[in-house]
Amino acid sequence: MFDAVRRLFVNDLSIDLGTANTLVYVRDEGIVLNEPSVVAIRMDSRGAKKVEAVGIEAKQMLGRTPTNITTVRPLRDGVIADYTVTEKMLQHFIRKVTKGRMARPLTRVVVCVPYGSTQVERRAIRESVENAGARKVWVIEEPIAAALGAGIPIGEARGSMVVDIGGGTSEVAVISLNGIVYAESVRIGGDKFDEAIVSYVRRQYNMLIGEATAERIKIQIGTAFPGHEVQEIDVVGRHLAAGVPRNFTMNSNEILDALQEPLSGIVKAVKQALERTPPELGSDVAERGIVLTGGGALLRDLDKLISEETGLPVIIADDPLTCVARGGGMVLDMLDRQGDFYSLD
Amino acid sequence: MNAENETQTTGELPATATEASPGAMIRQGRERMHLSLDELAGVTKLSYHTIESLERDDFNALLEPVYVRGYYRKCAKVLDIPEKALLDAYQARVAPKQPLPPAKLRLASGADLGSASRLPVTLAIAGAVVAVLVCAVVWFARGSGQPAPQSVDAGQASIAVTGEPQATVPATEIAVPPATPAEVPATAAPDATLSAPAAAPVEGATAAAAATPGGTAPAAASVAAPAAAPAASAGSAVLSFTATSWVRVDDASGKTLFNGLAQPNESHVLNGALPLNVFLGNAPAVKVEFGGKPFDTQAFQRDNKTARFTLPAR
Repeated sequence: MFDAVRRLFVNDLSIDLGTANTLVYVRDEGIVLNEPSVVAIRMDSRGAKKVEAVGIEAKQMLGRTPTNITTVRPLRDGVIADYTVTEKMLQHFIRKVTKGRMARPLTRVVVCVPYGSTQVERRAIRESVENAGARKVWVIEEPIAAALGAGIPIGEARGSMVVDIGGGTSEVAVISLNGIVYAESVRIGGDKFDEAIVSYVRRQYNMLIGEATAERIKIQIGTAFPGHEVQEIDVVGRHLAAGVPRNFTMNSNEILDALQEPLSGIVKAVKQALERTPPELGSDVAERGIVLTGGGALLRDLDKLISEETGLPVIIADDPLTCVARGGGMVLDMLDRQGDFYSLD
Repeated sequence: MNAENETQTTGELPATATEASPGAMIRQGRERMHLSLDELAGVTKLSYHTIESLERDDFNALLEPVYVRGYYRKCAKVLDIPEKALLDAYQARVAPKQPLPPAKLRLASGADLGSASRLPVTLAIAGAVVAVLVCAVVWFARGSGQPAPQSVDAGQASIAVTGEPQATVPATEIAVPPATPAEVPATAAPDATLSAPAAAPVEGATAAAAATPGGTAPAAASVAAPAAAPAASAGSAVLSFTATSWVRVDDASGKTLFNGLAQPNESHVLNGALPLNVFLGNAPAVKVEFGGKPFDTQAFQRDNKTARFTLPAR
């Protein structure tokens, strides 16, 4: 009953502060916000900067802004690249999800950070969330949150492998008894896929396309493993020699070719994790399989690629995009049930 | 069907008779594609026993739902079965189980333990509860007790007018000399006096405000004493009028204690921050007492009978 009364005064949020998307989970409500981590900033004639748009609205402006507006992605490789803009973005998101709950003065946040982030980077994320209006902030590593959100029973004395492919980083972790036995974080993710497509198009077609177009190509026909069906997409880019927009058609095999480099980086990280996993846990992983989470898991046949490369079953978690945020939400529940947490730093 | 009979295990829901079990769907799909169990296991990279358990719908032998659903998805992709149909058939047979969070977890940061985080919230709730309780007690006291006194600021100066017994003035604002045993009924308990002044009105200006040392029984604030001569404390001024006079009295804080025309036979007790600035329009008709002693205004009187002075005199 006490908890029920206390909840009337508290906003409990779990934030997956991702390079590509920021997701906010509100306790008892679920995922209430899933918006791109993009901020549009307007500069006036005196040089003063003002936030013009945040999230979906700002992403629509990406690459289409006049000179006095710039679109910024404040996170790169899973960590904060622009502290002030990140803070503004978080302020906007927190205000958006807590709108109409003015009677709840306290905001507690669980925020997820990449496993490979440094202490300085973690502190920056923590302070940024605090300055955005959170009274209390807990930081949790993404692989743990992803495993929790996927529904993996991480408390058992059995090994589970999670591969969380986000926008900026990919985390590979072997988890047992509520702890990370081995983890590897590589700075390869959806952004690198987009960049690889942009550079492939430039190289092969002598055309220039924007990041938004590259992302659209990836989502629509991107694949990680050669399939039976070859899909095509019409793309408009600027011809580098002629300097005028031109149409051209790309197919899924080309995208597969373009993505080879970042994909091999992820596969290498998974193989390395398997090599370094203790044999008992390795056998558990071989029996149960590798679980893919994160937006990158939605790339077609990525599970097949990793499965073929490792010889292990690879499964995609339900709703992989929201696993980390949902996992953070489970941590919030734990905070109430028992305050028995071990801290790392 | 044999496979369906084996599904009735712990945590499973009874399947509808018309629905094909997920195991049956997989077996049919495998047979349609002429694949052996070994071949299907090779394609999906799942173990032979896992495929066998899936076909037998032996959910107890399988792992957690997150894995089982993944296995079904893989099989659906390989065997060209609608993924949704397979997962729906599985969900219909297994009670949805919310994964339990672990008992302990190592956080990446958080020098404060989870229990410490409860402190501010707990304090806020405790404060709210106390406020509600106080409000309830006050409301109950006002509802069931004597009528509430007029609410006047404690620091506000007050005027007690003799000859008008109906005037109700909070006892806290009246300075009254200690009552003698003869004047006050001795039945009132000492405790009653301590709490009464704030809650009960006093009729007239003669109720005792405090118990006198030396065993004198204090008076209950609600006791209506007979009207007597105006009484003043050591710092108060008493103005008695024998004729009509204009009077204005301001205290040190600039507050006007009295401003108006006083009628003959009236007497006013004035309390305020000292010194008091007094202006009398008809000084010869006003008898002034300050600190219980008569104050001579003749020295301040002008030709037109007005007088301006301060109490105490400078």
